Amino acid sequence: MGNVAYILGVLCGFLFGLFVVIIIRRLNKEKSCLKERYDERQKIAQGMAYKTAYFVLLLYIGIVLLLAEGQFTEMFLSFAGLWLGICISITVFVVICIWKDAYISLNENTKVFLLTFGALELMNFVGVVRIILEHEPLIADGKLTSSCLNPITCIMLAVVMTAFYIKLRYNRRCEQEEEDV
Amino acid sequence: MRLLNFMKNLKMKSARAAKDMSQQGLADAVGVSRQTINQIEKGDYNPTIRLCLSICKVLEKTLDELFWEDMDLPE
Repeated sequence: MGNVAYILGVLCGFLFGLFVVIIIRRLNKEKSCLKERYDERQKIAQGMAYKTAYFVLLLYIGIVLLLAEGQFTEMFLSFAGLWLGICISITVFVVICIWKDAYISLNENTKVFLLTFGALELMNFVGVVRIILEHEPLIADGKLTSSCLNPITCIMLAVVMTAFYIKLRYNRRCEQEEEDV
Repeated sequence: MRLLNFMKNLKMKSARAAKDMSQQGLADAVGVSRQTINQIEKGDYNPTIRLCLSICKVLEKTLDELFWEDMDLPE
């Protein structure tokens, strides 16, 4: 029988995350009568981003399996290793969407997204600090441990927020140039 | 094979300027993002006919006036 406490902990974390997302989405809608709306260009950009992220994930899985089969390392053959692949894929998708201005829909608020990501980053950072203070190992028996989950998620969110910030500044500069013309 | 390079849509830009509309204003009127309008004007995105018609309605121009290419036909 598996670790019941672990499963309950994951379930509670998932339910809490779901609850937070529902609350944020309810607060986020500027026009509550409209569902999320993306224009045609944004949908095309999202499709391209999904495709790229999908192939990045396939590539990651292929590399991990090749490394394991070739007996180089089985470090990534664990939950944390797969989570790393998922996070890389999500990061690719989100960064492409952000850069193509296809992540935030027409009736959503950029600031709320930044606050949400900031809050998630903070929660994961607390986890990272805890791991450092309690000297939890990141690698055990030659594989990534579940202690890696918080650092991986933290890095993913940092990359996404950096992309957001850079894009916001770039858009503001473009808008300023357009106004000057 | 060369990829089609969409030309800048200066006609749309000048029609928008003539109505004293910003890109954001036109985007809100048409129901798209400002970046979509920007990319259409820069020639980086080719809109669907539906979007072209919406833009024409807002700017009070015809499709020919805003979106038809001026091409020199061979004699």
